[in-house]
Amino acid sequence: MPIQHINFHANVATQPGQVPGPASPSPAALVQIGPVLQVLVEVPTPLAASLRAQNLPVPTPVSGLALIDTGATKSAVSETVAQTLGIQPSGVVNVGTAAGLQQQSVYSARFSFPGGPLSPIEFAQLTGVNLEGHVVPGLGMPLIALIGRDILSRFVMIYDGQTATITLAF
Amino acid sequence: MPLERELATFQAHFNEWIQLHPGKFALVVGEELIGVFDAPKEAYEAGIERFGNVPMLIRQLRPDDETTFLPALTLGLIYAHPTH
Repeated sequence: MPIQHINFHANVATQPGQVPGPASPSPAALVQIGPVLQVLVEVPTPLAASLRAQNLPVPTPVSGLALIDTGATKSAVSETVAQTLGIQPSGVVNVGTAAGLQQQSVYSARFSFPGGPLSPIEFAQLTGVNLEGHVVPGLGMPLIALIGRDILSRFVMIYDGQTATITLAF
Repeated sequence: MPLERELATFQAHFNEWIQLHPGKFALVVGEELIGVFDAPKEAYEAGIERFGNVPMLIRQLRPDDETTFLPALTLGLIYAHPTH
């Protein structure tokens, strides 16, 4: 079982656009925004294969951060990122909001996690959400995804606030 | 609204389809039920293989309507930056 430790003390990335390593976020980021990890959002594998078969270009993956959100029932992706990748919606879902239920588009996508041992995850049904303007403090990278309990059901996660370390294994 | 035709088709045939395929995932493109599948991944693969990258509706045939909750986002908590 691959194990990834994310240490929120070391190697603080402070330059906007700087790509963090697996041990990059600061303790302030852990407190202020929660556990994040670097993610590459890509077109889903069946779509990539279909594009290649037609000699069409496969869109370049979009890099950003994913927030591990234990409050979210399902994982989510920035709708802007899904549209940038040209992924067409594959469903709609009711999202509970303070103002009642709201319908959001659903997308398929592939998440990979550079700089660590975690295997890529193929999502069949990600909720498309508006994450515009969410930039993680101190990292200068946009938040482009939420990792919800649908995927956490496959993980072991240890949140150690005292040492500011997140450990993920699956 | 995206997938308006597909949603209307799904709703019009829901009672019939859930009797025949409870718990399965229906794949609807336009006004046609393309098939029912055990998992949404299988439905997506079938949709891409047959139609390419087009909007499609993949929805589970279940009696209750599934609701997703994203409280940190919907309550604006991601934006919250306490000073203490």
